[in-house]
Amino acid sequence: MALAARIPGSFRDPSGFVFSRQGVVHRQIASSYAPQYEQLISSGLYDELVSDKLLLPHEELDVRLAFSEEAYKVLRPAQLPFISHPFEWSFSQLKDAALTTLRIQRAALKRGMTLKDASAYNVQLFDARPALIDTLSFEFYEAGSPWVAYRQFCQHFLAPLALMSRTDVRLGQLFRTYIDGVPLDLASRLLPFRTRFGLGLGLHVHAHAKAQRQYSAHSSSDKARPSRGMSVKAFQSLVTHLEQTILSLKAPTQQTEWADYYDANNNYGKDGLDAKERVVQSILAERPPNTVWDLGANDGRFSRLARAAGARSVVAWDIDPNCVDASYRQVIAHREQGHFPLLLDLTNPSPAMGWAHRERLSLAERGPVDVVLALGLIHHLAISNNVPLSQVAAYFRTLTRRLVIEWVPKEDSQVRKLLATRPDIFPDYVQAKFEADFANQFRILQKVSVEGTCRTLYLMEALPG
Amino acid sequence: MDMNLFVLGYLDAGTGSLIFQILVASLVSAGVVFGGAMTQLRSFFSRVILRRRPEEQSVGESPLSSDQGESPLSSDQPVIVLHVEKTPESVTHRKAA
Repeated sequence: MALAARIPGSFRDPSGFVFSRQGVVHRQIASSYAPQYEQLISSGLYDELVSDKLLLPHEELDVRLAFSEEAYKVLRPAQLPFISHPFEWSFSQLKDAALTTLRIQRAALKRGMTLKDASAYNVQLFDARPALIDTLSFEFYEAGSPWVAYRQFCQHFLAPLALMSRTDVRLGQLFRTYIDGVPLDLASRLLPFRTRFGLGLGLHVHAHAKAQRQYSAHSSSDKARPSRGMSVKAFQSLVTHLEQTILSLKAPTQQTEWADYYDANNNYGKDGLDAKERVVQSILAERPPNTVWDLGANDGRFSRLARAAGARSVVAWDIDPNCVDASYRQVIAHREQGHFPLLLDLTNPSPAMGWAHRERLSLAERGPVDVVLALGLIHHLAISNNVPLSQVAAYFRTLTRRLVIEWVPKEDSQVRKLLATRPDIFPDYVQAKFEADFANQFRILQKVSVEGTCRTLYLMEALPG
Repeated sequence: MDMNLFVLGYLDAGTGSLIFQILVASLVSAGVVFGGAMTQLRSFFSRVILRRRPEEQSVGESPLSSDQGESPLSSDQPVIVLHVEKTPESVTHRKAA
């Protein structure tokens, strides 16, 4: 029992919970869930979903390894290198997660089971595909029963996708405020009026929101309850219709500043970029990292270098939804395992969320990683956002053991552009001060000028303690 | 069927959502049946017409439409025009390189 700790976010479902022992994630199944778990296995549903890569595989361990006594089984699921949150996903990733959930529901119905929840947090990238990670999400299908998770599916997937597609891609960030998905009445208000006339969004968002309002006062009344159930055919039709509605939502086509940065908008020219690549490559090759976060990754060019250098998991963070979406589609198309393109505004990083701030981990709580790449980033933090260099250094130290960071001086054309429309109130933004502030947090191991530019690359190691 | 007999699990499914989905599922299911019947009818009459006027077969298109079997309630596509917004600069104002 020693060295085991229950994962704080795993408490809602009485069927079991997740705990960690010596850094390995385990899942304990409660005795009350035994019939459902046995049905999942004996019906062949588990094997089907695992072979289709729709469900995270697991192995059964000795029950004596349980966290507590009332355990029926202990599972060791395939270990995920990184857990992301839905508000960090691009449009395509959320859409794929929605379609994955519906495929699983369809397969479950054929085997006499149904999904009892449809949380976007239960889907993660595994082997470069979205997969359900919660083995305890299955319940017996009772003839006539409606889908208990219908509302949750609409809130977690349909409403945010519709808002991102039809109103503004940034509305995916509503997930940060609403941990159980976007309320349908809010989505209904924010969607364009004409979406009321579509059979997909008109029914599943607008009319659904109205029905919720209408029946909210009657929840305990028998009159509010339907006199008959829903046939399995009707259930399947509902799933198909949801699927078609999701498929009809297209990725927003806004042009953003960073979408073609390396192709048309960069500051280096090809020689400078190649030189920078060579330097980063040689730094990573000297001591290959296991886990990497690339902050301001754009299309993931340097993240892929890190993967090529042997990193098991690379998270490519960027603020631009188009860059992240393009990178995600590339990951899926080329089955790039261990590469996770995600959305992040580093000046307002993902916070700890949910009950007691412990249900969903903050950015820093999901670290530290072996290496953080901060290339072409420091001027955006220090000049565009007025973050003092000392604070950048202190925060980076909480994220990583080693840091590859690019110094971008005031002579650089990009910094000049940033300062063109505002007074230069940054007398401290000089290389000597940068080195001094970072030396308080890191030991500088290497310093290399990038050929053909006025920039410098540093390799640093976090100071102990 | 009494709602109390349903397996509700640990989630609050919401009374409005449960009732509403039963209605929607019936509607969608009826749409599938109706769509299927329409396709059968269209196919039947196409065959009858083609038998009477076989010369049209070589000129006209296939009697079965490409959306054969699709539910009339199948998608938003015919009704909703994709709404495209220009990206506000605030999405990316922080970065210049």
